[in-house]
Amino acid sequence: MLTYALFGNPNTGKTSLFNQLTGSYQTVGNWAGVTVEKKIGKLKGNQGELIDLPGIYTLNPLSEDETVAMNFLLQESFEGAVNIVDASHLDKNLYLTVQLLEFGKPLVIGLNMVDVAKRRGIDVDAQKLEEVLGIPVVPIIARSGQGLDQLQTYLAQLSDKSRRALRLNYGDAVEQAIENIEANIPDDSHNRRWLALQFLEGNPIVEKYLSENISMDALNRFKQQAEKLLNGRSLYQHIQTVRQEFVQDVMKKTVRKGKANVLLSERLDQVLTHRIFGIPIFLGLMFLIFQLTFDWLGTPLSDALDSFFAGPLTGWLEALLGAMDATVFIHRLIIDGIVAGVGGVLVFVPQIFILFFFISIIEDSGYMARVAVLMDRVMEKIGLNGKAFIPMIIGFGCNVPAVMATRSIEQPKERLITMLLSPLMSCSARLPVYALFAGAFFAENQGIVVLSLYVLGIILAFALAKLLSSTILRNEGSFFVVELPPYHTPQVRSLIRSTWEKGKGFIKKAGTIIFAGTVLIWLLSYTGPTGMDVSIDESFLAVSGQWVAPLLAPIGFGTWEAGVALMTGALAKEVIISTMNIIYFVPDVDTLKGVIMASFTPLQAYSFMAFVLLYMPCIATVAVIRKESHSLKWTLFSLVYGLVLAYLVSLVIYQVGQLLGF
Amino acid sequence: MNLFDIKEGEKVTITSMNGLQDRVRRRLQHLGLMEGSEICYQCKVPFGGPCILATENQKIGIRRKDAACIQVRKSC
Repeated sequence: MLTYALFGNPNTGKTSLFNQLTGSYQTVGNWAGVTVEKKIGKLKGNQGELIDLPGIYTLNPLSEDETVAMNFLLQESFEGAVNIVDASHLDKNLYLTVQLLEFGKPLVIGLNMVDVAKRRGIDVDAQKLEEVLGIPVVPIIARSGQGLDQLQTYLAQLSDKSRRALRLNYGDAVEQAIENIEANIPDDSHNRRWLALQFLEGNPIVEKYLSENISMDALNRFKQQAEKLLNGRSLYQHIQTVRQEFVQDVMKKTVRKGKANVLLSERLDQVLTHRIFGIPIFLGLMFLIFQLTFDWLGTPLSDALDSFFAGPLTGWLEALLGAMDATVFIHRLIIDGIVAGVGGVLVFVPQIFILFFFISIIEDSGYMARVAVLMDRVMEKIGLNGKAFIPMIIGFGCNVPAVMATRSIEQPKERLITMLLSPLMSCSARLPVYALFAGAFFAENQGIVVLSLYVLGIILAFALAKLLSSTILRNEGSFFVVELPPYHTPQVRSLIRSTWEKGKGFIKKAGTIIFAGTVLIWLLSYTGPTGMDVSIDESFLAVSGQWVAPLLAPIGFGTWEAGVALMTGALAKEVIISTMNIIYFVPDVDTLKGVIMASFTPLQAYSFMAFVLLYMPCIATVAVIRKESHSLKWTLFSLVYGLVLAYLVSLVIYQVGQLLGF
Repeated sequence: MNLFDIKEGEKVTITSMNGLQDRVRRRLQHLGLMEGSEICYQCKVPFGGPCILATENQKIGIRRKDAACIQVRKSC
């Protein structure tokens, strides 16, 4: 199998190109750090495999996602690579190209965003660039697919050609050191000159790679000798300058600059990052999204879906079951168990898709990086930086990708804190619980009550971040540098695509984990220590719930029903609703609202919602925290702190609320 | 004169970035900001928040304390 890799700076359209070339779908966005892991896809026309890597500026990594690309280069074998280059930022992009050319694998350049560059008055002569660099250069527009056929043709021919690696002259001192170091590196599959150079500029991954086979003493001596001869400049700076000079020379030969149009992006920024209005505008937009999701648009749609499930759908199924002569057991399993449990979760699909749609707009438009800038001051106060706010916004959709997104945070400790706290961002799975309880108890102010829970999660996350960053995870040298990409209008097609990709996980969950959980819960409610078809109060479910109930009494909901719902909810938080539908034995959400209004007071309901928000990440999130933190200790921490926090907060809400007379 | 002293909208040239933390300097260099680069100081987020720099064709957000470590001179 032929394997090709995709390299390029962050936010240059690698993933767009990947999707086009492989016909698959990976998340794209308009900010640096969308892709944090390598993704593999099959090239169309059976040409081989294409590997999408996180964006990098240089091979010398500063953050976790950047090490992914570097490790790939060192450890995996591939036939050739596509270097996607943003024509509107050629100088910045070519710096990476130089290092890839030094590496020496066959390379083809996809010159992307030629249209954007033209609009900015930048004209890149692709043919000239091809001559100067000595490798194929294909102008493309990855978003629309223009030029990709030609790129693929070149890619197919790549493996046939043997290429010589680029050699820049780094001056006598460095060249001498390179020669000495090369002599110490045993022959293997990698270009030794390239290894020596990366070692000299202090690439930690290469250093580790070399130290596995050879003693570093000699190498370090050569490095020090060379550095001494540079008159106070560091090797890193020196090597960088030589490469920059080469890039500037290439630029001179290939780029013509004309007049740029005054950009819309510029005007938008004057408003959206305005010194006074920037933050209020952001908060206003968030508020608008909540209103649309919960009040104006989402709720009517959910209600319509609910009456469809409870009415026509149940009717058809009953007719069908009657015609098939199904046993009472099967009949009840399907109608009282599966339809009530799975249907009770699926009715929230409209609200969840609306929320994902707006998150996709924020991601796609380029606003995400602006939010990071606006929030940096607040984040700095709690020991994090503005970039940590991005995973938090993603966490409103789902905590799993939020934990993954922390990879673009450079500081390991800041990254760990963000990872541990992103489950406090109220994800879409918790939304059905709020929609049900807020709809029942706070119908008038549903949007505000739900918003208050989101805010509660954020405030607690901030408070804990402050606590962690000033105690056990004290952090030195926090820093914040973020690129602000130009805005672009999200394409309708790609918005629908990315909303669907995010939302389909929810539907899939309804068909798998929630379905299985529902059947199990129904069985436990149908059977008991005394046999089958027992009254629900004597079922296994009630018996197990009674163990937890006394513990929950001080926080306002000491019933076995609440206990059971919370226990099953650890699987996935939507299951809480499924469980309640089965326990309370109701045909639709409206009836369920009536039943819970009889068993909770508004204060108890609010305390319950707060508990659901905080009590622990779902199992999928726990698994991804384990994987990303590489630490069992921190994974357990994320479970325990959630439970403790949830209990304390609900206790305060319920006890203080009672004192105040609610 | 450092970047922090500059008024919004003024064009300046970077003369030295030696005062910066190594990581910040490297990241800025990745983004194409180095000695000799011409930049325009765009705006500050209030309450001591970060500031936005614009180079020829891109924008970068950095913290004010880092901006104060970048030495500049006015472009003619």
